[in-house]
Amino acid sequence: MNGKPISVLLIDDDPNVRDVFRLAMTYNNFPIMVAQDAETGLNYLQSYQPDVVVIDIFLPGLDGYQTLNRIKREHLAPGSRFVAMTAYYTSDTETEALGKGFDGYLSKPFDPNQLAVFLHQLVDR
Amino acid sequence: MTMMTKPWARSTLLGSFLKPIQEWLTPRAKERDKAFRERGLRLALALILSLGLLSVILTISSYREAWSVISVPTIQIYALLLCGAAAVAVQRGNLNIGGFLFIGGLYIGVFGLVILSRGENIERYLISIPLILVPVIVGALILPRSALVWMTFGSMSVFGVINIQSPITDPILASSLFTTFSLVLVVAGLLLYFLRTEFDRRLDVLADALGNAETARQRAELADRSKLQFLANMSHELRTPLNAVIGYDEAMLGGMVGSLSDEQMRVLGHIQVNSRRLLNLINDVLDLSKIEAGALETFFTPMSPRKVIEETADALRGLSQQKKIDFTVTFTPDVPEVVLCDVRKLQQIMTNLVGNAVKFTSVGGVTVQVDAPDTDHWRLSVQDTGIGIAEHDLKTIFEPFRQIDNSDTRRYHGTGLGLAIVSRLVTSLEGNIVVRSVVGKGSQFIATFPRAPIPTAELAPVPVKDAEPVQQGELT
Repeated sequence: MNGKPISVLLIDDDPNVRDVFRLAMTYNNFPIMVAQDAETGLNYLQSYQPDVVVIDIFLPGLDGYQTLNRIKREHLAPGSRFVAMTAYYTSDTETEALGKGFDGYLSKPFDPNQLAVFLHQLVDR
Repeated sequence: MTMMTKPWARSTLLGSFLKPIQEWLTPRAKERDKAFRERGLRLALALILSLGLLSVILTISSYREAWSVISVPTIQIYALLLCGAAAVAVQRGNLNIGGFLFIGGLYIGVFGLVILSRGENIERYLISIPLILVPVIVGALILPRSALVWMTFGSMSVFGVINIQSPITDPILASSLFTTFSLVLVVAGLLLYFLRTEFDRRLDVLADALGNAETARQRAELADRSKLQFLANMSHELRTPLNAVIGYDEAMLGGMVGSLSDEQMRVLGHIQVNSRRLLNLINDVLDLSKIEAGALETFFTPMSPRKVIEETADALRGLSQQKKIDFTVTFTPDVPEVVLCDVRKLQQIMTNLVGNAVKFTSVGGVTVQVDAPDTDHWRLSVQDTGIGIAEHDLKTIFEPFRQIDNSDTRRYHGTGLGLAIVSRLVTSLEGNIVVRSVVGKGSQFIATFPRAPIPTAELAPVPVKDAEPVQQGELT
């Protein structure tokens, strides 16, 4: 995949998801930071402005929607796109995610080989 | 309000007359036994008050003799006043006081009239005797059970007092009359007492049964909720590790952890196919459980069938390319631009039908056709040139776990749940599905949907969920 690198902050409590995501990002030479919960992710945003913030919807503590609301309310990532990480076929989670302020969604299991294409489509849109 | 649905409620004149009556007759007490007594009391009071008032008016207008403290019109007025007091007590919710006041009024009215009419002639005396039964019978309906025995004795005593100056002069006749009638009173009292006891017992049994049914219903509801919660947890717990396996495997296949030999890639490919298959299986089982548990809500939204089906077809094209068979999608011009449907459910129906068609077809292809059989419906047909379905299997094809036989399951891989899910989804969209097939030639599944279904669920363009998210919200 060519084009300029896209930086990502991933907030997900599942270490395997973070690991696979990191593998795919590193493979594409994209910068990545990962956080295991909302608080950590929000702290990172104080000093790090990624192109895309990917947030798992079912997070312990603050969930994905609450996390997104805080980021937007506190203007933590004014230039970022937001992606909801949703589990497979959760009735209307995906429609819901788009309706609640996310710019896109990734449903688990996501294909690491499609990640770069997905991120480019999202950022270039 | 149920009374508003009664036909007479619409006629204003009759309604304005009957409505207060019905209101008056409706018990306020919640407890069953009390409500029963209250209804009896209200009915009896309403009857006695209106008849008594009429009787007082008639008596006063025709009474020619001198008025005294004890005379026919004054007795009637006393009785009526007591009944009025009883009505006030009932209206204030005091059933016992109301009941006793009413029975007191009855005693005064009945016995007063009996005493006053005695001595005139024997016929009137004899006719008045059965009146003594009236307070006992009414008491059985409106008083607490324990009061019945005392009322029987009370009536007997009053009867005894009346008989001190009986117009019947023959002592043998008088005493045998007294004895007979006392016996009648006692038997009637006992009979009523036992009837009331039995009635109260039945009411208790009924109340118990209703209570048990309610408890059972609540338990079943709780069990349903636990089942759904269990499904939600299972769904999350089963998929999370599997997603990791799939993710790592695909990362390795994509060369993200370094280059691998052809043999290693071949093995990773098998892991990919099998883990995806396991994921589909888990998804199918959980989907069917969700549908069976009634947990899959339907959201009818205006949508373009052409757009949704074309998008779904694009996502499915890869399947047919892998098997090198044709895949065509056609629309007739009469397909409506907008229908009310649930987009996700429609996508899942089409995905399952096309997935199945591709799975069982190795030569030829799969055709998706969308048309409109009439002005109220539209139709999705998925036709293949696959192995087909034998006639005796067509009947059970939409039942769960009905892939035709075990050898087929092994050859074609699948849970046999896809069509069961499809048929339930179609039903939830107010549509129906039929299948036609010729063994060796292929199969055709035709799902017909209403353009504007009358949704059984509420019409919600976008499902609005509570702001408070469910932590294990995997399942809805």
